[in-house]
Amino acid sequence: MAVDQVASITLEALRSATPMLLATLGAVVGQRAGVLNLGLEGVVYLSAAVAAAVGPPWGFVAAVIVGTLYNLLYYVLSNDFALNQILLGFAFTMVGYGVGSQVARDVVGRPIEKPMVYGVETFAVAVVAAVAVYFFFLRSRVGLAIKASGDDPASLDLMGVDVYNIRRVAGLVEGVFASAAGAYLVLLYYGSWSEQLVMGWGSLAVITAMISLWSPLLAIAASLVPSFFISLAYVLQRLLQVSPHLLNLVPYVASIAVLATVQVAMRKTRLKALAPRWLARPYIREERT
Amino acid sequence: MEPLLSAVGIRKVFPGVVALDGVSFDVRRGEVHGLLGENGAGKSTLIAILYGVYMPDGGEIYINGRRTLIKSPRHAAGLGISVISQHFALVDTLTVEENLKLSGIDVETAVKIGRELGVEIPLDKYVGELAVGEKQRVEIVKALARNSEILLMDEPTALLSPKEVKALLSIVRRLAEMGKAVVFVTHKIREAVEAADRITVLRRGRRVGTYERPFDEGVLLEAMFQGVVQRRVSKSSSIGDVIYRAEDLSGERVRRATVEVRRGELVAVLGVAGNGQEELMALLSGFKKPRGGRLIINGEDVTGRPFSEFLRRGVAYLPEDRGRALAKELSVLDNFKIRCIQDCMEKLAKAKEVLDIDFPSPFTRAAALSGGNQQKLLLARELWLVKPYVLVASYPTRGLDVDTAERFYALVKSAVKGGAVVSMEDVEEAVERADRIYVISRGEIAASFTPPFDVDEIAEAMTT
Repeated sequence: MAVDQVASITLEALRSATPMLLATLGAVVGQRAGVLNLGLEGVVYLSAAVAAAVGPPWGFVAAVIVGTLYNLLYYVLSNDFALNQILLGFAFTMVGYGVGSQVARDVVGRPIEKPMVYGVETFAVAVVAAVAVYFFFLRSRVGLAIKASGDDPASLDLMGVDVYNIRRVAGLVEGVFASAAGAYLVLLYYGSWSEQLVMGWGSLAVITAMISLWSPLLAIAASLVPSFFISLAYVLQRLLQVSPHLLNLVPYVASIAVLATVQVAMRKTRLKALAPRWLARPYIREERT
Repeated sequence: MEPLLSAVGIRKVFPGVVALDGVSFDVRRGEVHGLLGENGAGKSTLIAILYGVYMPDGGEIYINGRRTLIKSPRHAAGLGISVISQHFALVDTLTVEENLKLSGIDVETAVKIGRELGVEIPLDKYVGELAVGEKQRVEIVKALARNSEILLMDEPTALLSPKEVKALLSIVRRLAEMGKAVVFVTHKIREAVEAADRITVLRRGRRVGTYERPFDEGVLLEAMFQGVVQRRVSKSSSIGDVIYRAEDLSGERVRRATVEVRRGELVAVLGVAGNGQEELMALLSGFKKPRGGRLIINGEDVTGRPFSEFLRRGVAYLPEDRGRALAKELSVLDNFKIRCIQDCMEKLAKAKEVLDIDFPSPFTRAAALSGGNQQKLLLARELWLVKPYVLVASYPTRGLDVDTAERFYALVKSAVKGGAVVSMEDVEEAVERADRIYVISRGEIAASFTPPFDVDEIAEAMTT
């Protein structure tokens, strides 16, 4: 492969890494709080659709507001109402798809004027956000409480910190990141909207959050995994006579392979301690256990 | 003197169980008030109500003479109430300093208070690395740093080594001298007598009476059980060949442990909490596969065989966490049926009578039973029903009162056909019950003892 092709894949990967990193950071915050948001896919999709329907520049703001509220709804249902997170995740994804494609029905295929961004500078901004999230966990009381909410909510409750509130805060942060990612995809990355275009990004973020071992700094590297393969798929499309549908599978298969490797490695080593112990479990106080 | 906190006629009902029935209780400034009772007496429920974890179904609570509705733990904390329970309000995966911050406590204040109390605060250590006693001391310092006036201590000695218990009791006295109101929950009469100024005894959700110094241990025991239970010291008389042997057994924490059980023997594994005894028990039972070493039952090497084969060979395993051995959302009957094949209703009724298990109906959810009754149900299933050949039990008597512990040992004697390995925390219990004692320290068998036992020697082996 020629040097310029390697360079183009790398550049392409960095560009698509921005929304991936943003959504991953959201998922990291949420999962650290103990909530496995499988509905993140729906949040990214819906916010992307809103962004497309409203158009720049207000589409970005509208997408973040709608996406964050949608995400918060998931948190209220899964924690305050203690509903099953897995089922809820599927439901939120499906509703996101359905509502999103209706909202953006009229703008399918219509080009959106993209501002002049190269992709690398936005990735730099996302990296700064990742570092900020890192220090948020390390230094701030809310950050510590979010970690505690995912590791040991019962102790957190005993400390007199409202677990439900903390999880709502995590849901808010996650929602902002994920919907920013959705808006970015349409307004800055693709520059157009079609029904299949942004499918899968939210799901990949759920996986990359796990690959990153729930560390915002590792998330920077982990977000490059699917992005790299997404870009690779594009470049390969030009070179190979393979069905594009098959090539589109590559990022998912690769991400799952990396996730499986990381998880197996985790089980054998001390990294196990990094996983939020209460992941995907609602916290219910007045329960005799 | 007017009580700082008083509860009048507290009632709490869980589905199918009356946990508290019109209980009144009060505590004054500068006083340690012992709350004594056997398991399922309602002590923990009362504490949970005073700390706002549960809402009472009836009764009133007064703080400084003002009627107060304690809505949540947060609210309780705001009222100057702190709880030191078996469940520490500390997150293992954060450092001590981070935990203090999370609780909204100024780190310097905490260190200063620690110094006054004679307690060192290891700020940079992760809470998960601390010994139980250390965690508890951090909790006490936290409570003081929050200017708490009322300290509720729920079975604070349950997980401590003998040395740590002594240290704790003197800290408790010191707290009273500082003018705090301390509620000290325990099921051990001796501790209550040593620490408390007054003692209230609960039995099956009711208050039996409140006693003043000087205490009469006989009266307290009678109040707890309504009939004196004698601790019977009964050792096996005929000890036979080695029926079960673990050689150089290794796991994640356990290193090269060799343990032997002879026919008719009760072997105790003693150690301060967190030295690998839980894993050792899981390895001995065959539930967890060892990384190295051998397990031999009746001369046959069974290392690495599936757990089902251990069960088939008559090994019974009681894990330290009862929740893992009971399906909490299923009924008592369904839990029993996991090992019972026919006439289960009749057998369960029999077990209920023999072991005095308190549940309203066979269809009650297992989760609705108190901790002690869950343990009894487990004993009924794994010992009384199955009659195992080798019993491997991790802290089977933890949190049990004298009466239930007594039943447990009687059951081991009558139901276990071969021998038993039991992990314990209490040196005296081990000395009283065991035919052989292994001391585990940092994952290694540090020493083994045979009768006659020397308590001091064993206690020293545990802490070095």
